[in-house]
Amino acid sequence: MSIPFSNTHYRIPQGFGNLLEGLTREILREQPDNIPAFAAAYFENLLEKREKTSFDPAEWGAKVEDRFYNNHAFKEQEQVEKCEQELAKSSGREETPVTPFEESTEEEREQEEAAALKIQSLFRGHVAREEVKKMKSDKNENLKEEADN
Amino acid sequence: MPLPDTMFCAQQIHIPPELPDILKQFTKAAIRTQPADVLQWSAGYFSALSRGDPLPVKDRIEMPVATQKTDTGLTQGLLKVLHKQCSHKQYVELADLEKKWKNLCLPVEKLRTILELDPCEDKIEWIKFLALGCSSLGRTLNTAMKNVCEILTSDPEGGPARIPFETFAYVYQYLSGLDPELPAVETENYLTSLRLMSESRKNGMIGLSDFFVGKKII
Repeated sequence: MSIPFSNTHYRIPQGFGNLLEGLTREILREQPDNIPAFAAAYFENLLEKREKTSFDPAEWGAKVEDRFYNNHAFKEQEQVEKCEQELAKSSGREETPVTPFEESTEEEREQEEAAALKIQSLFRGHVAREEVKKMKSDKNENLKEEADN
Repeated sequence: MPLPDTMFCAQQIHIPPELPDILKQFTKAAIRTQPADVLQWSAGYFSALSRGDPLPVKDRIEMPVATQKTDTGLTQGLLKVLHKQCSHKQYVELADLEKKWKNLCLPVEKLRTILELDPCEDKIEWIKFLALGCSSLGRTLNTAMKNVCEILTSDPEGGPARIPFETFAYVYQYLSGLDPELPAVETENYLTSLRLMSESRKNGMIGLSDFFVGKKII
């Protein structure tokens, strides 16, 4: 007999989502024949990187999640940055203002969107035409077979 | 075949048919096992999967989840996983054991502490290591034997946790032999009484109810 309700809280390990996302992206990018072997090599590579650079993608992902939901993880870092800014001000050095990236005009943006739509529609049209060709060839074959019989 | 350099729409991405199931099983395994170091565990999981070895996955989620901040992280569930991975051989190489230990995100110092109880060169009999692991979980010999029975049994969880008497006697003698305060005669007498009972009533099997009495909290 199964219990309909349970107070067990299934918790996804912290930073797991980030690892899963990275793995999926690499698999889709590389299209390996043997996925488990590729995944094993991928994680071994990440482990080696972590040993050398002490950067853990899972830990980083957990911090990002924590910041997104609780806004805790980067508080220490923010405090350090504030201190640095105050020091810079007190020393009298004026920081050069960062020039904002020139935004593209609305016309250009519309043109880009139109071009993207055109490319997508062309590709979809190409796929549809291929399917129609296939259907036609299948029909012709069936007709030939019937004629032979 | 790798993907084209320029992507224009989602239809160009080819999703391997086996990928969704692999990712689903991987996620379920991570939720069940709750590894302390996800990256290390993931590497171990996929290397075992690619070799066709037993996976470092708990049968079910263990509550409460052990954390290395409060303890060494070793639990009965993790010992069960190790048993699943190593029990097919009578002797296990220490290097291989250390690798599997690390993949379960357990501290190597704890492994060395366990192995110091019965030092060996480069391999150890698996059943002996399991016994040492169980003794590190429980303070007393009886508690260690309870853990051994629960790991080795083929009975369902929460059942009588029966194991063959020969196995029980072998492990019990081994663990009691490591304790200089326990006289060998006492061990022999205890095992003889258990043997008579198991042969007469239990078809040569011994369960928790035959030797372990849990303290009742009133």
